[in-house]
Amino acid sequence: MSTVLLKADKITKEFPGVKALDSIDFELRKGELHCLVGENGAGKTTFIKVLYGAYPDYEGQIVLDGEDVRITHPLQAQELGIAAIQQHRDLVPTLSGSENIFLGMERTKGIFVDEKAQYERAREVVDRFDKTIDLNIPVQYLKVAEQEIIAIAKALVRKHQILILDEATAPLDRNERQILFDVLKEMKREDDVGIIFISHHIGELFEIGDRVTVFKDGMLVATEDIEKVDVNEVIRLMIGEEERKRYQKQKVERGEKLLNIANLTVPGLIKGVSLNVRRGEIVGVAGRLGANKSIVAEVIFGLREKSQGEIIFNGGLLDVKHPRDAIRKGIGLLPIDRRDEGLILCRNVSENVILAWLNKVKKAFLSILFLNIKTKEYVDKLAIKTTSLSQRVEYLSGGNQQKVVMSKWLNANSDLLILLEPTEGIDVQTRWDIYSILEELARSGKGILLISSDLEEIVAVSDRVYVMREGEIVDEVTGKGIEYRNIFEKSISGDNHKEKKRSEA
Amino acid sequence: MTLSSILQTITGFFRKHMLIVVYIVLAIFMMILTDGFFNSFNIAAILGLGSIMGFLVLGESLVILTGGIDLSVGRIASFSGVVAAWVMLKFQSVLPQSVIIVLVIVFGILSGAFIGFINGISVAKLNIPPLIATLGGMGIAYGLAEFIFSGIPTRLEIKAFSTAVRLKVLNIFPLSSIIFIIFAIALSIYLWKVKSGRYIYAVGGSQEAAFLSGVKTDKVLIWTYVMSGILSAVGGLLLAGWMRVGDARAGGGYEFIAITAVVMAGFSLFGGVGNIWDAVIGIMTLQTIRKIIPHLRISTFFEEGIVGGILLIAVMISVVSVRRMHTIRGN
Repeated sequence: MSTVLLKADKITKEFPGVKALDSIDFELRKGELHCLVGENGAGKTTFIKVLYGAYPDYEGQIVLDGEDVRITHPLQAQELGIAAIQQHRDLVPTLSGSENIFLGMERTKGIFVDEKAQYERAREVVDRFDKTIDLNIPVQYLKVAEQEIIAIAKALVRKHQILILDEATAPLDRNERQILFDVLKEMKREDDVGIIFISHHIGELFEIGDRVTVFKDGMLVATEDIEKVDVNEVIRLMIGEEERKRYQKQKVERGEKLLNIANLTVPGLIKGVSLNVRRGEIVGVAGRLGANKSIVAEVIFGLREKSQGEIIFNGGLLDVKHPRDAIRKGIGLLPIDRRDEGLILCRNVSENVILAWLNKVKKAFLSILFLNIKTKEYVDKLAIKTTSLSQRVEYLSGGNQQKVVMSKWLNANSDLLILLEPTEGIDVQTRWDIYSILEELARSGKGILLISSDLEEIVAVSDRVYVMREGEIVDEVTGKGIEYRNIFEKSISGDNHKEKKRSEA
Repeated sequence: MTLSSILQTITGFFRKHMLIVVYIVLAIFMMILTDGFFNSFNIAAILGLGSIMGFLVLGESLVILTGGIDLSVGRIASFSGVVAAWVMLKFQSVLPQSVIIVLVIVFGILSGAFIGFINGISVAKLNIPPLIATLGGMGIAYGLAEFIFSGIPTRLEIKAFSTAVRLKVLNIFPLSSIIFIIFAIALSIYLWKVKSGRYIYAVGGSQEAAFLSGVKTDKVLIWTYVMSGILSAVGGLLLAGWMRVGDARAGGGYEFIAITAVVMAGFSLFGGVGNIWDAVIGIMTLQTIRKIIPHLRISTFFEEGIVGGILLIAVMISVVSVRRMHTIRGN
C-alpha cells in the first residue's frame, strides 16, 4: 500500500516578484487520498498546476513511478496518467454530456462513433450522482453543479493513476459530495489511484483523507497522517505556531448613505436584493459560487438590466444604461477578470490609469507630462511596483495590476468602488496592501462594496456583511457576527433546502 | 404518440430549422407574385448553380464549425477550373479522353487540397487568424490561376465531361445537383458519426477543452481546411465543366455567397454549432432569391447589396440568439 507513486523534490515556482512555491518536497502513495490544505494564496493551486503541466518553467524534480519526468504540458501530464478536474475548462460547451465525457477517447463500432454505448456508460457513471441530468443537450445549458458532475464523470471514465481535484466539491450539494467521496474511495481501493484533494472544508478531510499536507505562504509546513491529527491541529498548522497576526482593521467614522438598493430583481438570477453602503464604510457581500453575487454589481454598473427594484446613489435615482453613465455618476468597478476586463494589457501604466478619466478631458490635446505626473502620484501612494510609468501592465504582477485598476477609478474620482474578488491569485503581502488602501479610501469618505467568495477577506475588512445564497440576500451581519464560521454556515445552509427540492422533483 | 406530441415534434423541427419555413413562405410568395417562376427551367437553373455553389458552402460550413472562416473558397474553385483546363491542354494530344477526365479531376482536387493545406498550416501551426490566413490563401490561389494562362480564360474542351455536367435527370435535376446531394449525405454522416468529424464540432466548441481531452486540435484544423479546399475544388471543376471554360476570375465573390448561406443556416460564427442540411437549404434559398431578383424587375446590379443585407440580418439574428443563450446561462 505504501509504494510511492509520485515524488516531488524541491519544487520552486516564481512569478514576477513573488515566490509562489518555495522548495516543496511532496510525496503521493498508491491508493492514497492526500489532502492539501492552506489558506488562499498558500500555494496549493500553484503546486498542482505544476503537477499537471500548466507551469512548464518550474524548478525542481518530479519522479513518477520511479522515473524522472519533466512535465511541461497538460497533454503530457495526461499521457503520464495525471488528470485534474478543473471545472469548466474541461468541457466543450456546445457538445452534449456524453460526448464530453468520451471526448478524445470515443468508443467506436467500425469507423463510426458508438453513441449508444457511450451514452449508456456515461449514464451509468452520472446516474450515481444525479439521475435527472440530461446527457443529450449541450452542457452549456446545464447548471453549474451539473456541469461539475459531468466534468467529474469525464475524469472517472478515463483510467488515471493520479487524480487531482481542486475545490471540485464547491458547487455540489451534500448528497452529491457524499457520492463523490464513495466513488473516490472505490477508486483508490480498487485501482490504486493516488488522489490529491484540495478543499476549503477542513471537515471533509477527516471524512475521506489518508494524509494531509499543509501549505503556508508558498512553503510546505507539514505532512501528517489524518489519524494522528485533529481539526484544531490542522488549523494550528495552517495559521502558524504563534497567533498569526491577522489583518487588523481600524475603526472608521460612517457618513451619509451613498448607495441604497431596494428590491433588485433580475429574473432567474437575483431576487429582491436590498442593500446599502454608507460613505466611509466597507460593505462585504459574501456567498459561495453560484450565489450570483456579481450580478448585483453588473446591474449597478449598467452591464445588465433589472426587471424590478430601485437604486439610489448619492441622493438621486440611479438609472444607468451603459457603464459610461455609472462612471460619470462616480462609480468604479474592479472586475473579476482584471487582466481582460480591468486593464488594457498591452498599454502602459499611465495610459491605463487615465483611461476612465479621459472622458472628462475638455482640451483637444493631452499633455503627456501632466498625465505622467498624475500617474506618478498613484504609483507612489499605492506603492505600485513597476520599472517605469511606460511599463506595459501585462508585465506587472497580479497585485500591482490590481493597484493600477484601483488607481484608474481613483483618478476618475469615483465615490463608490465595487470590487469583485479583488485579491484572487494575489500573494498575502500585497493583499494586505490592498486592504489598507481600501481602508484608507473608506476613511477619505468613499464607499466600498466588496463582493468576494474569500471569507477570510470578507471577515478581515468588512464593517458590515450581506450573505447571499442562490441569488437572494439571506442575512446581514454586523459587529461581532462578522466571524468566519458564522458567515460560512449562513452561506451554505441552503444545501438542505436544495436537496429537498431535488428529491421532490 | 398523441396528436399534441406529434404537433410538438413538428413545431420543434421547424423552430430548429427556421430556414425551411422561410423558404416555403418565399416560394408561395413567388408563386403568387410571378406567373410561373417555378417552371422546370428555373428550378433546374437554381439547382444547377446552387449545387455548384453548394460545394463551396459545404467547405465553408466545416471551417465555420471550427470557429474560423474561409475566404479562399471562391478562388480555389476558379483555380481548380484553370488547372483542369491546363491539364487538358497538356495531355489532349497524347492521352485518350477517359484518362484525361480522370487526370483533370485528380489535379483539380489536388490543387484545392494544396491551397487548403496552406490555409490549415497558417491557422493551426502559425496561429494566423483565419480571416488573414485564408485571405493569403485566396491571393495565392488567384495568383497561380492568373499565372497559368496569363489571366486569359481558356476553353475546357472535354465533350463527355461538359455533357455529363449539363445532363439533366428527369429533365429537372442537373447531374451536379445529384453529385452534390451524395456529397452532402456523406459529409453529414461523417460529421455525425465519425470520430474525426465529431472533433470538428469539439474544436469549434472549445479548442482548449478539446485539446486538454487529448484531441489533436492542430490536425483537426488542418484537415478541415484541406477538406474545404477539396470541396471547393469539386465545385470549381463542375463550374468549369458547366461553362466549358477555365477562368481565373470565375469564382470571385463566391466566398461572400458561401459565407452568407452558412450564416443564414444558423451556424454560430464562434464555432461548434450548425447543421450541414441547414446549410444546403441555405444555399438553395439564397440561390432562389438571386434568381428571383430580375423577375421582380429589380436591377441585377443590386444583387450583391441584397445578399449583403441578408448576411448582416443573419449575423444579427445569430448574435442575438447567442446573447440570449448567455442570459439563460447566467454567470
